[in-house]
Amino acid sequence: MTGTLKYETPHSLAELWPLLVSDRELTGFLAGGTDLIVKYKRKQLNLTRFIDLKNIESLKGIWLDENKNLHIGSLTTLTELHTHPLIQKHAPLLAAAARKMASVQIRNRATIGGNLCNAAPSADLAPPLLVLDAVVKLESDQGARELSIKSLFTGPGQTALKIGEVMTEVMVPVSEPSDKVTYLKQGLRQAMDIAMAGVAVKLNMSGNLCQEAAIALGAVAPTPIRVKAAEEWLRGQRINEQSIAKAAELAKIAANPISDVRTTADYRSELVSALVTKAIQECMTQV
Amino acid sequence: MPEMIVGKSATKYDAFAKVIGEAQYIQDLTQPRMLWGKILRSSLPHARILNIDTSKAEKLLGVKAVLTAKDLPGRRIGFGNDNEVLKRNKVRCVGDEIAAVAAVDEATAIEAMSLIKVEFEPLTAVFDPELAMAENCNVLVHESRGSNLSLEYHFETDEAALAASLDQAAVVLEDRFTLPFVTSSAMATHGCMALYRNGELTIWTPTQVPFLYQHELMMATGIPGNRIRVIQPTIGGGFGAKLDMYPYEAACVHLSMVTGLPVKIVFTREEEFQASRPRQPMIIDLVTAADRDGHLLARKAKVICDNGAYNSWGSTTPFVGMQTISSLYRVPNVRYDAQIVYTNNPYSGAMRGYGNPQHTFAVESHMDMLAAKLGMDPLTVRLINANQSGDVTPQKMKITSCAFSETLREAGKELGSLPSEPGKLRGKGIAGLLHVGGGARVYRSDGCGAVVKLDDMGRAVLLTGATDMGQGSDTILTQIVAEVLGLEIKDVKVINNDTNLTPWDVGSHASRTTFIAGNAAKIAAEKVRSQLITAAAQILNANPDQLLLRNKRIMVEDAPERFVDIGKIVRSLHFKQDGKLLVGEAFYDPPTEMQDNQFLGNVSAAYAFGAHGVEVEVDRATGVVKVLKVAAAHDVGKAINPLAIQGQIEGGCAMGLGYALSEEMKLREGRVINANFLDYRLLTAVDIPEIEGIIVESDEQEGPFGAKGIGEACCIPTGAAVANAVYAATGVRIKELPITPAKVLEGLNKMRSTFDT
Ligand SMILES: Cc1cc2nc3c(=O)[nH]c(=O)nc-3n(C[C@H](O)[C@H](O)[C@H](O)COP(=O)(O)OP(=O)(O)OC[C@H]3O[C@@H](n4cnc5c(N)ncnc54)[C@H](O)[C@@H]3O)c2cc1C
Repeated sequence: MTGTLKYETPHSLAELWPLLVSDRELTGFLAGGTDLIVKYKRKQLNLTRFIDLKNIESLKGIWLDENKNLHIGSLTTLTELHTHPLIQKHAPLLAAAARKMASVQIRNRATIGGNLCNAAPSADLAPPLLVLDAVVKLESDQGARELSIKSLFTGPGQTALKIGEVMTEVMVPVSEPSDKVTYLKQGLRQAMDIAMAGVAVKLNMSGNLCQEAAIALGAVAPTPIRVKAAEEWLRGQRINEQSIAKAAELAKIAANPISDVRTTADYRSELVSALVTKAIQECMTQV
Repeated sequence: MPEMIVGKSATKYDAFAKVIGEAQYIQDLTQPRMLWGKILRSSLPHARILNIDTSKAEKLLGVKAVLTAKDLPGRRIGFGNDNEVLKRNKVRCVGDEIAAVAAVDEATAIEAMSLIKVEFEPLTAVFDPELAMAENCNVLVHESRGSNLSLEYHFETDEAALAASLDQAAVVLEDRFTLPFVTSSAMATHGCMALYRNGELTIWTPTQVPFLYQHELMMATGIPGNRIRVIQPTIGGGFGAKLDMYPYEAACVHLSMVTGLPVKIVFTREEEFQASRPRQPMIIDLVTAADRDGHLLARKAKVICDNGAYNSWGSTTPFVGMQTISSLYRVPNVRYDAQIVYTNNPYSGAMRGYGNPQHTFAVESHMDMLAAKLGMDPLTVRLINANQSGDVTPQKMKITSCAFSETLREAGKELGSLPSEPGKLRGKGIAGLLHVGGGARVYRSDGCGAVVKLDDMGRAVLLTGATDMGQGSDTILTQIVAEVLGLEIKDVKVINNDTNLTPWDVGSHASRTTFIAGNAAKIAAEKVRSQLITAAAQILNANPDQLLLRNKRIMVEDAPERFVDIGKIVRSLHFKQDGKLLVGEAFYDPPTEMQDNQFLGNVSAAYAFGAHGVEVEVDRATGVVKVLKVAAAHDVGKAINPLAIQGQIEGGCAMGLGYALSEEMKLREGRVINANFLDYRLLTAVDIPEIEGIIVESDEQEGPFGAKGIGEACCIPTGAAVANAVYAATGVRIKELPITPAKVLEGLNKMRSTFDT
């Protein structure tokens, strides 16, 4: 182990910014720590300082604004995500996805901000937030900016956050009761597992005709992705076996998976089409 | 006379201490001025050590000792003496011990390790046992041996008869089965604490075999055995991985010798994956021949075991696997060949079942394939070949109690394809097992000693050699002693963790403890009992035959108002001129024989049988296998504690299901690349289906109260049963564990494409 690790606990963003005047590159923001500390212990990070965000109250809380946007503080834990009444009501997809992650103990610590900023291709909250057209709010001593979640992920473990920037909020347009949404995650076991593939689907139907479709994939490309081709294909289609099969095929083509310790690229491709099919079918069973 | 305690479920002896966190594992132990030891391990799978520079580490503040091979006496260790405590000239696997450090705290020891400079000359390595055995393999893991073959096992019945039976057979199946590296993932990692002082060594270590360990440690360190005291803390799981004396343990002793202080070394989880002993991977080429009615005619197996870089006790697992090939089901003609092959992988060892889960996977897959080939149902083909009481197998194993057929019938209800919802395929498969259940004479002695002493408050203490590593033997032994002496379970205490106090035992392995240690405890308790009865007969003025021990009293059978408290009898013996102590001792060694050099002989006094029926649902689109239910029927002779058996069965099935579906230690160039519990997929509580334990009693005459071993048996057939269930559901035959969704889907897709064309 080399050197010592500094630990700071600012109580507000105002207290945070002066700390970032120096050593920004060697600083890790600590939220739940369920990714950060694991990586640090495995010596995958070259850091000399942790800045713990957990005492910054403005990063917590969940509320609904007058424009029907849910505001989710970046420190919101996965447990809060799947139990909070506002999330359950206005973003049930997110609540369901959070429930499928890790274990109770991890969910009590892990945060939405950490999941997104860690930017694993397999991050389970990413596909649902992608189909929900979420927007993230980033702040630094230079001010705040908003970014569509589609532009957040730039590579495995890489985001559009600038050094010294903090994610403060995730904004999610509320889902209408008529939205048909689902997230399917396939791991090798039913808890404590990283997805081999994850698929989120959101459909708006008019009768049997698909008005709008959003499909996002996790763990099958360098970043979580939306599948434009499949979405465009579905728009205006009747949802039936053929149209679903075609959408699944298009999603499979869009995926660009790798083989790793969890499974093979080939199997991931197969999973994409199987899960997209199932996800659309499952959406169609929702009333 | 009906038993009062034996046969009834009882809470585990150590449950309370474990649940409230009071149990002391090696991780919890400490000593005044204790140092922390760490082992510097090789990062390369195969390399010559050119130079080791420890000068910087030695200068670090807080470092008390840095040892390398040149500081040690250079004694060879391990089974076959192919290993060293610290490696002198060459490392042969990732994780090989190069240097040992002792420092005032763990962080300093870790820092010191980073200051040791090792110059290596990397050597070409071999990771595939078949390549290691190939003619043109120019990599030698142990140069002096001239080849990478460590050991060979060969057994055969009459050669001509075997050939003839293969000619006559209506069906001859020939398949290759492949088994991966898995590891037992004991919750407590390895660790030990050594204190060498005044020429005496005390070592605290979670070994499963304290007395053999004492001997191995003597050979490794040169300290006379009668100067070594082994104390076992609470053991957080053994599963066979704690049968070996590890190099780090001898290194820890040396650290204590040079510093004069207690030193403790505890493995990290990564070390546990890389440097403890996993179950050996095997390639099994199996031939099964049968007549047209499904009677087995012959079995031939060629087995290649990946030994890894050194021998451990695991190198002897073909000894057990061979029994499965020769004796699981009646098969007259047999040939078995196994090769234990050195590679530059981590070295494999014993793990629950001792080679049997691998061999049973092959044999029981074949039984199913045979049934399919002959158009028979999988249960019938097993029943007509099932071993029966009185059989003597080709290896001269004498089957005494045997309820194999009954377990097959219990587990084998409604086999085959089952109705399912659209998109899913359901099926149920079965697999049986045979394992030793009455000890295993692999050494000249298979014995265990016991001493029961009864004190004047009516409390019994059992001193036993038997190690409880979590399996629950302490509970069983207290039940036995309480039963014999008419006490309550809580009146019996067990001392079994200190070689200075306990009588000798071979160790906890081979599912032998209930049977062997149980018999020893029973005989010792009976000796106390007869002394009690003699004394009570005098006090009560009654005939000894009329006396009954019950509820801490001795009473006259048909006049229960005439009784005397057991404590009172003991006191009456103490408080008199020429008084006596109430102590009974026994050494039980079962009536078995060691196998001769042709592997013939009845190694166990009884054999355990059983069968698992597994029901699965397979997702057609993803290939994901969901286990719906396991029905695990076991012939246990007699259930001394049904709850404990259910516990063993559930744990065994969970382990077996992980082996079947999700567990695999993945290696890249000899390095474990999933050395954590996120990527090494143990099944979790939510993955485990309903497990129905079905206890079948066959009353083993030689067993204590009729009991036989169960510890390993319950994880042995699960893998094969899952494979057979997947076949029943889908028609896809998977011959390689684990049965991942990717493999199942590939099989389904292949079937679809042949169906389409
Ligand atoms: C056993 C286990 C199981 C897991 N299972 C899953 C699973 O099923 N699905 C899944 O997707 N993940 C899983 N994970 C990964 C992890 O738990 C999640 O990604 C979690 O959401 C991370 O949140 P955190 O608060 O712990 O992040 P941290 O570890 O605190 O941070 C992660 C990264 O994000 C940065 N960061 C955190 N918050 C901010 C912020 N507000 N602004 C800027 N940067 C920030 C940190 O600096 C760090 O680089 C698992 C992890 C473990 C250990």
